[in-house]
Amino acid sequence: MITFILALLQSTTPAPRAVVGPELCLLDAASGAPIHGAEVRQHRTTDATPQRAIPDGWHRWPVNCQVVLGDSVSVRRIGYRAAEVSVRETTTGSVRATMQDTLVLALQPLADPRFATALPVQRIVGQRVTGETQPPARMVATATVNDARLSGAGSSTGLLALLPFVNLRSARGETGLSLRGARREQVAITLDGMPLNDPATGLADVSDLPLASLQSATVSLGADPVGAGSGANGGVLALTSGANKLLSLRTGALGQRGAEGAWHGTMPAAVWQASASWRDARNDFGFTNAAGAESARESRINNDERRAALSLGLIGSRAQLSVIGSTGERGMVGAANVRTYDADRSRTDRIALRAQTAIGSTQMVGGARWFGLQYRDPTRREFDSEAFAVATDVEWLGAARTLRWRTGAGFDRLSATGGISQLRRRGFASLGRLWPALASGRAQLDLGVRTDLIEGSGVLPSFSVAAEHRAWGQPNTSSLSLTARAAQAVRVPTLYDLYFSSPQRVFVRPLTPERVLIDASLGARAVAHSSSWQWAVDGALVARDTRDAIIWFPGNFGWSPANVGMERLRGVEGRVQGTHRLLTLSAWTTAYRTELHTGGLTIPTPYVPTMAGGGQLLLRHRGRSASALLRTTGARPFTAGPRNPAFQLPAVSLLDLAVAQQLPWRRSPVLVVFSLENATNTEWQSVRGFPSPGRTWAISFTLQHSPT
Amino acid sequence: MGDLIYTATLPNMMPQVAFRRSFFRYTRAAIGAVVGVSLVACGDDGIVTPIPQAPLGILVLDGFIQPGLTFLGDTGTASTKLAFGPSTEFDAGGFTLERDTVLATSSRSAGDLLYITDLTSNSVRRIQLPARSNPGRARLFRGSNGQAQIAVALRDSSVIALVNVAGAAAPTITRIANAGQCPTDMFQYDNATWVVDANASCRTNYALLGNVRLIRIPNTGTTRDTIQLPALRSSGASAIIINDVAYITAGGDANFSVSPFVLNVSGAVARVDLRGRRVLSTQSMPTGTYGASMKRGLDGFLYVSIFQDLANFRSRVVKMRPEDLSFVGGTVNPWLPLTDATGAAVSCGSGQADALGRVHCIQNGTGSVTSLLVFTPTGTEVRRVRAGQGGVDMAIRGRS
Repeated sequence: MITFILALLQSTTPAPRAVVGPELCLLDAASGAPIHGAEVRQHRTTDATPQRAIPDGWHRWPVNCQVVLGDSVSVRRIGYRAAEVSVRETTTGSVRATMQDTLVLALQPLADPRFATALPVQRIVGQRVTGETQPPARMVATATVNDARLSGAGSSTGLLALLPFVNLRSARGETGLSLRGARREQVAITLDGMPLNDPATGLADVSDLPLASLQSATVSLGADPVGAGSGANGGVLALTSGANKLLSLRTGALGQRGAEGAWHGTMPAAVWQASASWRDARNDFGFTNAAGAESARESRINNDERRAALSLGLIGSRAQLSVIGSTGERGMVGAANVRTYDADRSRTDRIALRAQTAIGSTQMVGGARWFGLQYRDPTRREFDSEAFAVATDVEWLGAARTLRWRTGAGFDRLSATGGISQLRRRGFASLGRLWPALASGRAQLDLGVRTDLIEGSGVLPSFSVAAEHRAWGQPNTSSLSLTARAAQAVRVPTLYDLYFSSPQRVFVRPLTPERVLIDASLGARAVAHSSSWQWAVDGALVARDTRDAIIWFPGNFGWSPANVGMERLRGVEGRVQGTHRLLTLSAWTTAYRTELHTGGLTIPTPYVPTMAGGGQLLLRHRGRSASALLRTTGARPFTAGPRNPAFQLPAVSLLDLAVAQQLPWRRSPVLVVFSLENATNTEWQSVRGFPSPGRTWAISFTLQHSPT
Repeated sequence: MGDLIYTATLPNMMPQVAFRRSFFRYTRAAIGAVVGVSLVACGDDGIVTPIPQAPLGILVLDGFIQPGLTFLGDTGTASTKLAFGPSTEFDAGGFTLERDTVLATSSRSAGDLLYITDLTSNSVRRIQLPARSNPGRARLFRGSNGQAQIAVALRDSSVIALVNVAGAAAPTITRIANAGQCPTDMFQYDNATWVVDANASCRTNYALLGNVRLIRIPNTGTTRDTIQLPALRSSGASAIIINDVAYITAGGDANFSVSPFVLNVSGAVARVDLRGRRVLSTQSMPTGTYGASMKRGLDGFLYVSIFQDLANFRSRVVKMRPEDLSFVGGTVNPWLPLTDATGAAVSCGSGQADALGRVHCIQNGTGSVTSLLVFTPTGTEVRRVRAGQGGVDMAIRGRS
């Protein structure tokens, strides 16, 4: 198979793409994520420009990048401040672009109070933007779905695996992630700004999201009270939806089969987009069962999964609507050597709806999420159960000069087998301001405050402050900046926490929100440019103190959560990325010490390794690419007990390889990707007791419509 | 034996599957730690050292978080830990200490394993029991050839497994079939195996099917005897044997699927004349209490750990005379008035007295940090020492 694929790669070369002008790409200034659905009007401003037919009026861009013919463009999109930029002049702060250039315009999101002024247009070198789109003093990293496909990813989980600083955990078909040494429920996950975390558990399982509906994933490390609100103690994962025209088929080891497609089009007043995906897998991989009396080779049983998802979107001048629904059924495989769950099944359904509209210069956003869970135990019907959770949100946001404000309200509701019914109302208000050009334009300061009012938890104020000083160099050239950031955060107990904090249901044990007293970082960021390379280096010392951490421990009657002691994190984060026209090279590392002090014990946060790191090499040339992704994690404690070598998972390194070739086929080139996951066939466990697959392979064919 | 030992229908309402399964497993195990079984069969039956001596040491079973045994001396604060494995491989709520051997089992939720710990070599051996058999209590038996074997009650199989372990050779398992609806304990007496049958639907939700029973299965012949124990109801039941008398303990019955929880029947202890195969007497635990986990103290008394109620689940220790099951010690309440140095009441479980009459028990605090507490014979706390984390049971090693 590998020989066949390599031969195929060598025998074909895609047709070169005709270049008729510079390409303009629109990005979110806060995250660097691509923006689609914007409206663009092009102008001719100089007589020197060769005469070209420039379309009149506003035209909607279904995708985020498009060739521009004019000398300047006006851009507007719901959710962002409008921008106007010249792409040919050199005297007005814009850039001189050749027809081969790709330009990036970072739009300021209205929802993010950190951006009060326009960011400059930047020129892309190579394949990635390494300019200054990220917010001040924040460690941010973005992976695009296109890169994920080239790296062999076939699901949203594969997309997340590309992100630096992410510690993924997966068991029983669910995937969660940890950022900056936080527990899974301390990471806020959003899709186009809509929170995905289940209010019942605080977790967001992204496994069901179709890759075809996404454009990018961005992680931001550190507490984010102003941007993401309650729950973002460790950081934020922001997913953005995309507008694609593609059909992708995938097959691979362990019975993997998948198909997904996406399409978009324009209507008189809007851009529409739709995507759908289906995949299933047996996942009956072999593993060494060392949990029994003697080690033995076995195959996983009842580990299969079937998932389907559908997403729809509509982007107009004054309104945007998006709907995503998914269903997933999987076998609830037990821990190694445990056979009592061999027949158990679980089905998860999710529907999320989000709408936003412009009201004058402000935006109104509404969203609703519904989660359904069914557990079936064919051998013990007494254990069958169901649970349903609903969360709704309404937000109003706007700007006044350099100030940004945002306010909203919503509620969470949970109902479950056994007559359980819980309801919680909540509201918030936030204010932010950015001073972008202090100290003669060399420094910027960002302040934000937010207050949450949550039923049962009271008023919860928090703040963030970030400062960045350019010690050397100029923007968009080689430079060295020093960064400092401090923030607070709160995470209110989930509905699960509240229910189980009082298992006897008689005397409700109070459970207060856990509060990040301080999440601080002190770092440096260096950017270096040459004619063919662009380098970016980030490093930071970080510290976080969390009071009243909500931890589950066995109590006098089953496990229950409690506010336990003070949790402290101290650590270092670092990343280096080099970009060339032909390759991208990146590496990252973290070193954390996370400790909970309670009852005379010092307990490391489970599953947070002391050391972790990774790197990726992506080579591209004339429609061909090769990718190598390395993830290394140190020993991970897996219990809420003192550090003990007997209760920690060993260090592990995983290597994923992929080769890709774009084959010409009319106007829709076919991207063929062959990938090896865990190429070294390392036996490892993501969660203790739940073995992960060894080496697996997959091949995918993606037919992507090319507009030119 | 963590999986079986509770007596009521737990709330079937957990909306998140992973939590739900963990909740059931750990709840059963946690309750089992305190409620379901008596855990000690120390040394030779009926022998009490003429001159009381301090114990050889104390063992605390850490059932959760980092399962294993924590060893403590009779004095001082030093402790050592012998790890068993993660919670996915060990979930016992109690253990059996017989001479230098500790026996414990993992339920069906943790792989159906038998753990044998040799205290002389500080080593652990794991034996795989049949899948989904849901082991309960394990005890040392004497085989027909005089060699020791280990009997394990397999709750979901209605079987008593007899495990022969000789050196490092592969173990062999023989079975006594049809050993009740849900066998939870067993012992040997008079050329027969006696099975404590919880008479509950242990394969599913542990709902009670009737009263606890004692089933006599002779080593030869086919005639079996069943002794009904009318006041005993629980999905966890166990036995202590003193000479010709068996003391059968059951934790009671409660409905945990409603809010607030409803107590149906409190725990109870029955005295059974094994020679005459009849119930001599029965003693219910104090009104309103739930659970009953019995140990035989090295001072000769019986110690039963209970929950004071279903609201706060405060652990209490009841002291009983074996000859008539009467309560000893309590004046205001039937349970022992255990207090700290200031006179404040202290709550703790898994109580057992040493030969000097000093009550030992364990208490879990913040973060499930476990403390071993020792009280004078009059009930005043004289020792408090950290003893691991997630403690569910303890036993005192006596001098033989």
